[in-house]
Order: sequence, then C-alpha cells, then structure tokens
Amino acid sequence: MDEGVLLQIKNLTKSYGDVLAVHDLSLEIFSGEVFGLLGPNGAGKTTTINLMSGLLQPDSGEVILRGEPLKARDPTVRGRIGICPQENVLWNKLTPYEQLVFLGDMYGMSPSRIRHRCQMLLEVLGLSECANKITATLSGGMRRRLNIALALIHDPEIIILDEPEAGLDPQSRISVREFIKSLVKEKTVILTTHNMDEADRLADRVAIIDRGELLVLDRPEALKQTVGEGDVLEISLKKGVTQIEPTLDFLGDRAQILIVEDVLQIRALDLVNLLQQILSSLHDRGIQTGDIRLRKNTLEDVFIQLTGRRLRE
Amino acid sequence: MKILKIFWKSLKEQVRDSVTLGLSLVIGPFFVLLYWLMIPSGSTTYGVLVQNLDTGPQGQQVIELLESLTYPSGDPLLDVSTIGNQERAEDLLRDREAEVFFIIPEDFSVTLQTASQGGVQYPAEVTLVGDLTNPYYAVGAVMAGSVIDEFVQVQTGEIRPIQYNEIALGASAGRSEFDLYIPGILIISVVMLVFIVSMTITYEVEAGTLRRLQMTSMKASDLLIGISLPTVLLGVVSLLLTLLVALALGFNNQGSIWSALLVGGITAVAVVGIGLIVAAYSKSVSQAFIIANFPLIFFMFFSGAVFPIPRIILIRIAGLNISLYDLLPPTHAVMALNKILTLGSGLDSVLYEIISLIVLSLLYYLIGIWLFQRRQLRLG
Repeated sequence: MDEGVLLQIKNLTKSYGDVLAVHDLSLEIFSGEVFGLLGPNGAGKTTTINLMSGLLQPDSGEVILRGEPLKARDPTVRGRIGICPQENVLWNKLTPYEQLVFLGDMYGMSPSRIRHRCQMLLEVLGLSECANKITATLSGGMRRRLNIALALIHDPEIIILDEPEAGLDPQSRISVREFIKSLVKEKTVILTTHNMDEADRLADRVAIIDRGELLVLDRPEALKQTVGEGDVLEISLKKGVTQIEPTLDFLGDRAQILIVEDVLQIRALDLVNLLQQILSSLHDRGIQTGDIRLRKNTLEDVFIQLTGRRLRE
Repeated sequence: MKILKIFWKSLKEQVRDSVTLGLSLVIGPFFVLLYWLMIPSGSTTYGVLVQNLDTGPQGQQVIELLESLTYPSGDPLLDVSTIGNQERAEDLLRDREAEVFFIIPEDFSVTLQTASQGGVQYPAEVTLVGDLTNPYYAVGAVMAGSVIDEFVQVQTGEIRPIQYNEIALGASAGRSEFDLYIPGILIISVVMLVFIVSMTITYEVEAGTLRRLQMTSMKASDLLIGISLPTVLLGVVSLLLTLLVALALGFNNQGSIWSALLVGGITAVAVVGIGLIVAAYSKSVSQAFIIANFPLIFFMFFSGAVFPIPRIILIRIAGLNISLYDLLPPTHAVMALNKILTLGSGLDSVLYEIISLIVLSLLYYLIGIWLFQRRQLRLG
C-alpha cells in the first residue's frame, strides 16, 4: 500500500433489503487531501461515509485505516474520524457551547482541551456571539456551522462532511468553504456532495459514484479534460426535440453534440465564432430555441457523459 | 464520569422544555385539586329522596334520623329531600340528582305501634326506587336502609339474634373519601412521566444525536442510565409536589413522607423502563407520544390507582395469590402507599410490596434497555 494512503476501501458492498446502496466499491484516500464523493441523490454517498466511519456494517468488503482493518464501531476509530451529517444533528435545548463541551466529554477529552477547542471552533466558525444562546433560536446558517463544529470538537484526523453547503445562505456558504480550505493542511477531508461546483472548488480528487458504483476517480481538471477540449454551448430546445445531427453536420469532428433533458449541448473550440452559424442552421430547420448559455466544462458534464443524466436529481 | 455528564445534559434539556416539564409536574396536583373539588366535604354525600305517606308521626322521625347521619368528620352522609311526587322523584334519579328514592307507606306508624304491642299485622311496605346502574345507588340504599332498620328495631323492641361489631383498620375510620384517592393519584403523578421519558429518549433517535453519540467513546449503558436518572428525580419531585398539594387541601396523612418518596422513586424506575420500551419502537417523538398512551392507560386503570379492580389470580406461591395485575409495578406501589399513608404502616409492614416493586421495576428497566439496544443502538 502507498505510504500516503490513509483510508482504503476494498470491494465494499452494502444493501438495504432489495436495494443495493453500495456495490463493490474500491478507492483510496490520501492523507491531507480533500476528497470529493460526487453523485446524485441516492447514489450511495451517505451509505459510503457511514461505512467509512464504522457506523454501518458492510455486507462484504472492508475499510482499512492506516493499514489496519476498521471494524464497525471500533473504539479506536471514534477519535480519528469526525462526521458532519447532511442534516443538522443538534441538541436544540442546549447552547452551542454546552453541546461542544458535552460532546468533548463524551469523547473523553480533558476539560482544558475541551475549553481550548470550543473557543477555537466557535471563533473560526463565527459562532462566538451566539455561543450561549439556546440552539433552537439560532439561524439556519449558524446551526449548520455548529453542526460542523460538533464534528471537529475532538480534533479528528479524518473529517467527513456530508453535503456541507446544503441549505446554506451565500454568506455562510463562503465562510464554510473558507473553513474547509483552512483544514486542508492538517486534516484529510472527505466531502460528499451532489453540487459539482462545490466539489470542483474544494476537492483535490473527485470520485463520481452512481447507483452505488464508482464511475470514475481523478482530479477535477483531469476529469473535465476527459470530456473534451473547449467550451460548452447550451441551447434550450422546444420539448420533444431528440434529433439534431443533420442540422449541425457542418461542425463535423470539431464538436461533440448531446441533447440532455431538452438542452442541446455543443462542446467545441472557438464556439463564439461558430455561434451565429449554429443558431442560423437551427432556425433554418425550424427548430425553436430558448435560452443560450456559453460556459466552461464542469464535473456535471463528466457525469452526463458517463450516465446520460444530470446530477441534480 | 460520563453518566453524570449525560445526567446533567438531560436534566438541563428537561428543565428547559418548560411546557412538557410543567405539564408533567402539574398533572398530579391537578388531579388532587379535581378530586377535592368533586368532594368538597372530603367524602361523598348521597342524595336520598323521601315521599312520606305515613299518617302517623314515625315516618317523619325516620326522615329526621336520616338527616342526622354524618361522617366521623361531622359532614352529612345523606342529603335528604322530601318529595311529594313519584314521577318527579324518578326524573331526579334518572338525572342522577339523587341516588335513591324511599316511599314510606301510609300504615308505617300503625304497623310499628301494633308490633311494639306484640300484635301481628301484615308488614308495612317501604319502597326503594333507584337506578341500579348508578354505582352510588347501592351505597345510598344500604346506608338509608340500615337507618330505617335500626329505627324499626328500637321502636318495636325487637331483639336480633346477631349483632355486628365493626373494627376499623389503622386510622381508616377517620379517613375521608378524598384521603382514600390520594395514594392512587400519587402513583398516577409518577406514571404520567412515561410521556416525558419516552419522548426525551426518542428525540435522540429522531434528531440523529444518538448516532452522533455512537461515534464517541460513550457506552450505551452510560447514555441509558444518564438519561434515566433525571426522570427518576422528576418522579420523586412530581410525587412530592402532589403530596404537598394534597396535604394543603386537607389530606390526612398517617405515614412517613420519606417512605412515600422511596416508593415513588422505585416506581419511576419502572416508568423509565416502559419509556425505553416505547422509545425502542418509536422513530419520532410524536410516535412515542401515541405509543406511550397504551402503557399509561394500562398502568392507570389496571393497577388500582384510579379505582379498585377485581383480582384475577394466576398462581399461588408460598401462600400468596399472584394476580395478573401484580405484574404491574404500580399495583404494588398503590398498595404500599395505601398502607403507608392511610394505615400509617412502616416500611417493614410493606416489605412484600417494596420487594415486588423493586423486582418488577428492575425487570421492566432491563427489558427496556435490552429492547432499546437491540432496536435503536444496533448497527445497520
């Protein structure tokens, strides 16, 4: 095993009744990286992180932490992994400070260390002013940040953040993003998201999973390059248009053309100069068009290319 | 010590949930107040209607005797009203404005006079009318009937071959009906906590905080004991508050309050056990609330806390009859409190009830822990 490998997942499978949540999943996570687990809702991301953290028992396969097989709910794992669930998991009748102290106590930390960690986390996550307010009275953004603080109170080696930006207002989103970046040097961060932008901005490497299976794993830039060079032109089409090729045959091998959910996607170099010609051809053939957008390649394009579906659902 | 930390955390949460806590603590005193308002004199006064058709004076003498009947406290036992119309009397019985209606016949005095002189006459027929489904009818009829019977005996000089000698147990002779209800209400005040305990524990499941705690080095036993302790404390406080309100409203306590608190504390352990069983089968707080109603009703109505229940004997062990309801901890708690508070018994006299209560409470608690661990703390 590579010395830099912190967590290794080998042929992990987990099902709930007839539903196969994770199927034969294998991947490696390196020490000190931000690892993105990208996939649509129901792809098996949460199940995967629950298996990684020992909260779930796999049907088969194993999780290896620093070369040691991880047993479900192994006490040695508890202090090394911090998990921030997708939903805010809070004690609403306690204050943020009381919650952090209580959880620190449950991890068996010393009072002085708990105090130090509390102060630091409350400050860094912008919760100092509301530290002694009852949690039920806090805003959504504050509650989300407290959810993250609770995952970090015991100073874990691996931090698992399940959809950390979900439900956040733009301001809180920026502050959470900055905080995750600040962790990078010392910690290994595993990030699950269905937000391609979030994964693209934060992750060093991204694994795209769908229906419990690993589709692809690489750096975001490398993944985006696999889709093809150039920009992407998106043109909304009238509902029901599925065939477009003869209209745009003039593009030849210069472009890749896809229709996904009534949106025509054309990937090619120098699209700005080709735009007028493309629109004229569509109009000449009587194809009604709507919104037009020119953008860079994203991880969603990778997912679409792999599955033929969008990520958001 | 993690148990202590969880205890403090749970206590804080319960204290801050002022509505649930307030309702849980108020329910016992509220019941006491309700009973006190229902029985302002401390005991029930039975309504008796009398139609006096007697042509002589003795019918009126019977009415005066009925009116003079009192409890040891001096409160009237019967509320006697004379009435001239049988139809009106029956209407009042139907409306439960009165429990029993007596008709004293025309020949009542003549018959008594004849009998007192050794003559023979057909018996005068005193008629009793009442709604036999009214639980107070039998008591009112027996009380008034006994008075008339005794009057007849004195007037005729008749000597009965059998006399009854009544010996009251402990201080029971001086007890009012209000006093008799209090031990049951005290246990209800503890049993009501099944809501707060099942909802508190289920909150940890529903909110996901239980999973969060499972990631720490906390043991399941730390959590369950730590969560249970505030409820036991709350049970004792609830019982104490209820008892204090009862005392303020005239409850005639004969025993040790400390012994009563001990019984309440042990009963609270059983209630926590039931709360854990409810939480084991609940996914949400609202579901726990609904499920908790079932054991609550069972404990309230089948333990004798609300009214006496017939014993269905299951087995006989070492001379003791074990009934179906003996499997419910509150049954023994009510028995113990009755003996302590009503009869003035010491703990040594309620040893059987206390031991049964401890054994059953621990059994329920262990079943609760086992089920909760199995259903909510096991890995998926």
